[in-house]
Amino acid sequence: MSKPWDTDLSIYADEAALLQGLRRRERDACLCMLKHYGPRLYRLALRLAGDPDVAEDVLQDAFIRGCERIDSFEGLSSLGTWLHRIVVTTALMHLRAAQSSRVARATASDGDDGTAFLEYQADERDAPDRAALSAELRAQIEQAILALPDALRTAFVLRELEGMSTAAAAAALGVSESALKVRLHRARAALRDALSHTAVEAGVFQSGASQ
Amino acid sequence: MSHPCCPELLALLDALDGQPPDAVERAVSAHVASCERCAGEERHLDDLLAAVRSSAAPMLPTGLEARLLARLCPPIT
Repeated sequence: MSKPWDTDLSIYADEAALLQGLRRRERDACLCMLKHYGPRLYRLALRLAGDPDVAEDVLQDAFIRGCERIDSFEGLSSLGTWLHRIVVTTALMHLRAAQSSRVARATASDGDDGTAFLEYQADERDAPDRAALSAELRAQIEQAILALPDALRTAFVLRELEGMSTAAAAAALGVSESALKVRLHRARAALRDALSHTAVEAGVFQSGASQ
Repeated sequence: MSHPCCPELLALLDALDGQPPDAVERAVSAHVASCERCAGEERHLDDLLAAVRSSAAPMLPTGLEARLLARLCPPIT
Protein backbone atom coordinates (compact mmCIF):
# COMPACT_ATOMS: atom_id res chain seq x y z
CA MET A 1 0.00 0.00 0.00
CA SER A 2 1.49 3.30 -0.99
CA LYS A 3 1.92 6.01 1.58
CA PRO A 4 0.90 9.60 0.83
CA TRP A 5 4.51 10.73 0.76
CA ASP A 6 5.33 8.11 -1.85
CA THR A 7 3.08 9.90 -4.31
CA ASP A 8 4.82 11.32 -7.35
CA LEU A 9 3.93 14.99 -7.14
CA SER A 10 5.93 16.03 -10.18
CA ILE A 11 2.81 15.76 -12.32
CA TYR A 12 1.69 18.97 -10.62
CA ALA A 13 4.88 20.81 -11.34
CA ASP A 14 3.08 23.98 -12.33
CA GLU A 15 0.06 25.81 -11.02
CA ALA A 16 -2.12 25.11 -14.07
CA ALA A 17 -1.65 21.36 -13.64
CA LEU A 18 -2.33 21.59 -9.93
CA LEU A 19 -5.49 23.61 -10.56
CA GLN A 20 -6.73 21.03 -13.04
CA GLY A 21 -6.12 18.29 -10.51
CA LEU A 22 -7.91 20.18 -7.75
CA ARG A 23 -10.87 20.80 -10.03
CA ARG A 24 -11.02 17.08 -10.78
CA ARG A 25 -10.97 16.50 -6.99
CA GLU A 26 -7.82 14.39 -7.26
CA ARG A 27 -6.42 13.28 -3.93
CA ASP A 28 -2.83 13.72 -5.09
CA ALA A 29 -3.61 17.30 -6.09
CA CYS A 30 -4.94 17.99 -2.60
CA LEU A 31 -1.81 16.45 -1.12
CA CYS A 32 0.38 18.55 -3.39
CA MET A 33 -1.52 21.69 -2.37
CA LEU A 34 -1.04 20.85 1.32
CA LYS A 35 2.66 20.17 0.89
CA HIS A 36 3.29 23.27 -1.19
CA TYR A 37 1.15 25.85 0.63
CA GLY A 38 0.48 24.20 4.00
CA PRO A 39 3.52 25.30 6.03
CA ARG A 40 3.36 28.98 5.02
CA LEU A 41 -0.41 29.14 5.48
CA TYR A 42 -0.23 27.35 8.83
CA ARG A 43 2.29 29.91 10.06
CA LEU A 44 -0.04 32.69 8.89
CA ALA A 45 -3.03 31.05 10.60
CA LEU A 46 -1.08 30.56 13.82
CA ARG A 47 0.20 34.12 13.86
CA LEU A 48 -3.30 35.48 13.32
CA ALA A 49 -5.13 33.08 15.62
CA GLY A 50 -2.49 33.01 18.34
CA ASP A 51 -3.31 29.43 19.26
CA PRO A 52 -2.22 26.15 17.61
CA ASP A 53 -5.60 24.44 17.97
CA VAL A 54 -7.46 27.40 16.50
CA ALA A 55 -4.85 27.68 13.75
CA GLU A 56 -5.49 24.07 12.76
CA ASP A 57 -9.24 24.74 12.62
CA VAL A 58 -8.60 27.86 10.56
CA LEU A 59 -6.37 26.02 8.12
CA GLN A 60 -8.83 23.17 7.76
CA ASP A 61 -11.77 25.53 7.16
CA ALA A 62 -9.73 27.60 4.73
CA PHE A 63 -8.61 24.62 2.65
CA ILE A 64 -12.14 23.21 2.59
CA ARG A 65 -13.48 26.60 1.49
CA GLY A 66 -10.77 26.87 -1.13
CA CYS A 67 -11.49 23.42 -2.55
CA GLU A 68 -15.23 24.13 -2.59
CA ARG A 69 -14.64 27.33 -4.53
CA ILE A 70 -11.84 26.15 -6.74
CA ASP A 71 -14.10 26.07 -9.79
CA SER A 72 -14.75 29.80 -9.39
CA PHE A 73 -11.05 30.68 -9.03
CA GLU A 74 -10.42 32.91 -12.03
CA GLY A 75 -6.67 33.10 -11.85
CA LEU A 76 -6.58 36.87 -11.36
CA SER A 77 -3.95 36.24 -8.69
CA SER A 78 -1.76 33.22 -8.03
CA LEU A 79 -3.33 30.25 -6.29
CA GLY A 80 -1.09 30.93 -3.30
CA THR A 81 -2.28 34.54 -3.01
CA TRP A 82 -5.88 33.39 -3.32
CA LEU A 83 -5.46 30.78 -0.57
CA HIS A 84 -3.63 33.36 1.56
CA ARG A 85 -6.65 35.67 1.39
CA ILE A 86 -8.98 32.83 2.35
CA VAL A 87 -6.83 32.02 5.39
CA VAL A 88 -6.80 35.68 6.49
CA THR A 89 -10.58 35.95 6.14
CA THR A 90 -11.16 32.63 7.90
CA ALA A 91 -8.79 33.47 10.78
CA LEU A 92 -10.44 36.84 11.38
CA MET A 93 -13.86 35.18 11.31
CA HIS A 94 -12.70 32.71 13.96
CA LEU A 95 -11.33 35.51 16.12
CA ARG A 96 -14.55 37.52 15.85
CA ALA A 97 -16.63 34.48 16.69
CA ALA A 98 -14.43 33.74 19.70
CA GLN A 99 -14.66 37.35 20.82
CA SER A 100 -18.45 37.31 20.54
CA SER A 101 -18.54 34.09 22.49
CA ARG A 102 -16.37 35.59 25.22
CA VAL A 103 -18.57 38.66 25.44
CA ALA A 104 -21.64 36.46 25.60
CA ARG A 105 -20.13 34.55 28.48
CA ALA A 106 -19.19 37.86 30.08
CA THR A 107 -15.69 36.66 30.78
CA ALA A 108 -12.92 39.10 31.45
CA SER A 109 -10.33 37.15 29.49
CA ASP A 110 -8.93 38.70 26.33
CA GLY A 111 -7.94 35.26 25.05
CA ASP A 112 -4.27 36.02 25.23
CA ASP A 113 -2.73 33.23 27.24
CA GLY A 114 0.61 33.44 25.47
CA THR A 115 1.07 29.70 25.48
CA ALA A 116 1.02 29.07 21.76
CA PHE A 117 4.39 28.18 20.39
CA LEU A 118 5.94 27.52 17.04
CA GLU A 119 8.67 24.95 17.12
CA TYR A 120 11.29 25.69 14.55
CA GLN A 121 13.25 22.83 13.16
CA ALA A 122 16.33 22.84 11.01
CA ASP A 123 15.05 23.37 7.50
CA GLU A 124 17.11 22.91 4.38
CA ARG A 125 14.99 25.54 2.65
CA ASP A 126 16.62 28.19 4.83
CA ALA A 127 19.35 30.00 2.93
CA PRO A 128 22.60 30.31 4.89
CA ASP A 129 22.11 34.03 5.54
CA ARG A 130 18.67 33.37 6.88
CA ALA A 131 19.97 30.67 9.16
CA ALA A 132 21.92 33.41 10.98
CA LEU A 133 18.82 33.96 13.06
CA SER A 134 18.97 31.07 15.46
CA ALA A 135 16.01 28.77 15.81
CA GLU A 136 15.86 29.73 19.48
CA LEU A 137 15.62 33.43 18.74
CA ARG A 138 13.07 32.91 15.96
CA ALA A 139 10.93 31.00 18.43
CA GLN A 140 11.29 33.85 20.95
CA ILE A 141 10.17 36.41 18.38
CA GLU A 142 7.22 34.28 17.26
CA GLN A 143 6.29 33.74 20.91
CA ALA A 144 6.38 37.47 21.56
CA ILE A 145 4.12 38.05 18.54
CA LEU A 146 1.68 35.35 19.65
CA ALA A 147 1.57 36.87 23.14
CA LEU A 148 0.22 40.17 21.82
CA PRO A 149 -3.50 40.81 22.43
CA ASP A 150 -5.67 39.77 19.46
CA ALA A 151 -6.30 43.31 18.19
CA LEU A 152 -2.61 44.23 18.19
CA ARG A 153 -1.40 40.89 16.86
CA THR A 154 -3.74 40.79 13.86
CA ALA A 155 -2.86 44.36 12.88
CA PHE A 156 0.84 43.65 13.26
CA VAL A 157 0.80 40.38 11.34
CA LEU A 158 -1.20 41.72 8.40
CA ARG A 159 0.73 44.98 8.05
CA GLU A 160 4.25 44.16 9.21
CA LEU A 161 4.71 40.49 8.39
CA GLU A 162 2.33 39.90 5.50
CA GLY A 163 3.05 43.22 3.84
CA MET A 164 -0.54 44.34 3.38
CA SER A 165 -1.01 48.07 2.84
CA THR A 166 -2.29 50.14 5.74
CA ALA A 167 -5.58 50.65 3.90
CA ALA A 168 -6.01 46.94 3.11
CA ALA A 169 -5.13 45.81 6.63
CA ALA A 170 -7.47 48.41 8.15
CA ALA A 171 -10.27 47.28 5.83
CA ALA A 172 -9.70 43.62 6.68
CA LEU A 173 -9.96 44.42 10.37
CA GLY A 174 -12.83 46.88 10.00
CA VAL A 175 -11.02 49.81 11.61
CA SER A 176 -9.83 53.22 10.44
CA GLU A 177 -6.30 53.65 9.15
CA SER A 178 -5.46 55.81 12.17
CA ALA A 179 -6.73 53.12 14.51
CA LEU A 180 -4.62 50.55 12.68
CA LYS A 181 -1.52 52.74 13.01
CA VAL A 182 -2.14 53.14 16.73
CA ARG A 183 -2.41 49.37 17.08
CA LEU A 184 0.90 49.03 15.23
CA HIS A 185 2.57 51.52 17.58
CA ARG A 186 1.27 49.60 20.58
CA ALA A 187 2.30 46.25 19.09
CA ARG A 188 5.79 47.49 18.29
CA ALA A 189 6.21 48.97 21.76
CA ALA A 190 5.17 45.66 23.32
CA LEU A 191 7.57 43.74 21.08
CA ARG A 192 10.42 46.15 21.79
CA ASP A 193 9.83 45.51 25.47
CA ALA A 194 9.51 41.74 25.12
CA LEU A 195 12.58 41.40 22.90
CA SER A 196 14.79 43.91 24.65
CA HIS A 197 17.14 41.17 25.86
CA THR A 198 18.12 40.17 22.34
CA ALA A 199 21.24 41.52 20.74
CA VAL A 200 22.29 42.04 17.17
CA GLU A 201 26.00 41.71 16.66
CA ALA A 202 27.87 41.83 13.40
CA GLY A 203 24.85 40.72 11.48
CA VAL A 204 24.39 37.61 13.56
CA PHE A 205 21.39 37.47 15.80
CA GLN A 206 21.89 35.99 19.21
CA SER A 207 19.81 35.62 22.29
CA GLY A 208 21.09 37.77 25.14
CA ALA A 209 19.42 35.42 27.59
CA SER A 210 21.70 32.60 26.57
CA GLN A 211 24.96 34.55 26.54
CA MET B 1 22.76 44.09 26.56
CA SER B 2 19.40 45.16 27.86
CA HIS B 3 17.33 48.13 26.75
CA PRO B 4 13.66 47.85 27.64
CA CYS B 5 11.20 49.93 25.69
CA CYS B 6 11.44 53.72 26.01
CA PRO B 7 9.52 54.63 29.20
CA GLU B 8 8.45 57.95 27.69
CA LEU B 9 6.74 56.14 24.83
CA LEU B 10 5.01 53.72 27.19
CA ALA B 11 3.84 56.63 29.36
CA LEU B 12 2.58 58.47 26.28
CA LEU B 13 0.64 55.42 25.07
CA ASP B 14 -0.90 55.02 28.54
CA ALA B 15 -1.79 58.70 28.79
CA LEU B 16 -3.46 58.70 25.36
CA ASP B 17 -5.42 55.49 25.91
CA GLY B 18 -9.01 56.06 24.85
CA GLN B 19 -8.26 59.25 22.92
CA PRO B 20 -9.27 59.56 19.22
CA PRO B 21 -6.93 57.45 17.03
CA ASP B 22 -5.93 60.42 14.86
CA ALA B 23 -4.61 62.35 17.86
CA VAL B 24 -2.85 59.30 19.33
CA GLU B 25 -1.23 58.46 16.02
CA ARG B 26 0.08 62.00 15.54
CA ALA B 27 1.46 62.26 19.07
CA VAL B 28 3.12 58.83 19.07
CA SER B 29 4.59 59.25 15.59
CA ALA B 30 6.02 62.62 16.61
CA HIS B 31 7.62 61.13 19.71
CA VAL B 32 9.12 58.15 17.86
CA ALA B 33 10.50 60.43 15.14
CA SER B 34 12.25 62.71 17.63
CA CYS B 35 13.38 60.21 20.29
CA GLU B 36 16.91 58.85 19.96
CA ARG B 37 16.17 55.89 22.19
CA CYS B 38 13.07 54.96 20.18
CA ALA B 39 15.05 55.23 16.95
CA GLY B 40 17.56 52.67 18.20
CA GLU B 41 14.92 50.31 19.51
CA GLU B 42 12.92 50.56 16.30
CA ARG B 43 16.02 49.70 14.28
CA HIS B 44 16.71 46.72 16.52
CA LEU B 45 13.14 45.48 16.14
CA ASP B 46 13.24 46.03 12.37
CA ASP B 47 16.44 43.96 12.16
CA LEU B 48 14.78 41.11 14.04
CA LEU B 49 11.61 41.31 11.97
CA ALA B 50 13.48 41.42 8.68
CA ALA B 51 15.10 38.12 9.52
CA VAL B 52 11.79 36.61 10.59
CA ARG B 53 10.09 37.79 7.38
CA SER B 54 12.70 36.14 5.20
CA SER B 55 12.79 32.84 7.07
CA ALA B 56 11.13 29.75 5.66
CA ALA B 57 7.95 28.55 7.29
CA PRO B 58 8.47 25.69 9.74
CA MET B 59 7.19 22.24 8.94
CA LEU B 60 3.56 21.46 9.72
CA PRO B 61 2.93 19.98 13.17
CA THR B 62 3.07 16.18 13.19
CA GLY B 63 -0.05 14.61 11.76
CA LEU B 64 -1.67 17.84 10.59
CA GLU B 65 -1.12 17.17 6.89
CA ALA B 66 -2.75 13.73 7.22
CA ARG B 67 -5.70 15.20 9.17
CA LEU B 68 -6.21 17.91 6.58
CA LEU B 69 -6.00 15.43 3.73
CA ALA B 70 -8.54 13.17 5.43
CA ARG B 71 -10.97 16.10 5.67
CA LEU B 72 -10.39 17.31 2.12
CA CYS B 73 -10.42 13.88 0.49
CA PRO B 74 -12.19 11.37 2.74
CA PRO B 75 -11.19 7.79 1.95
CA ILE B 76 -13.78 5.98 -0.15
CA THR B 77 -15.40 3.23 1.91
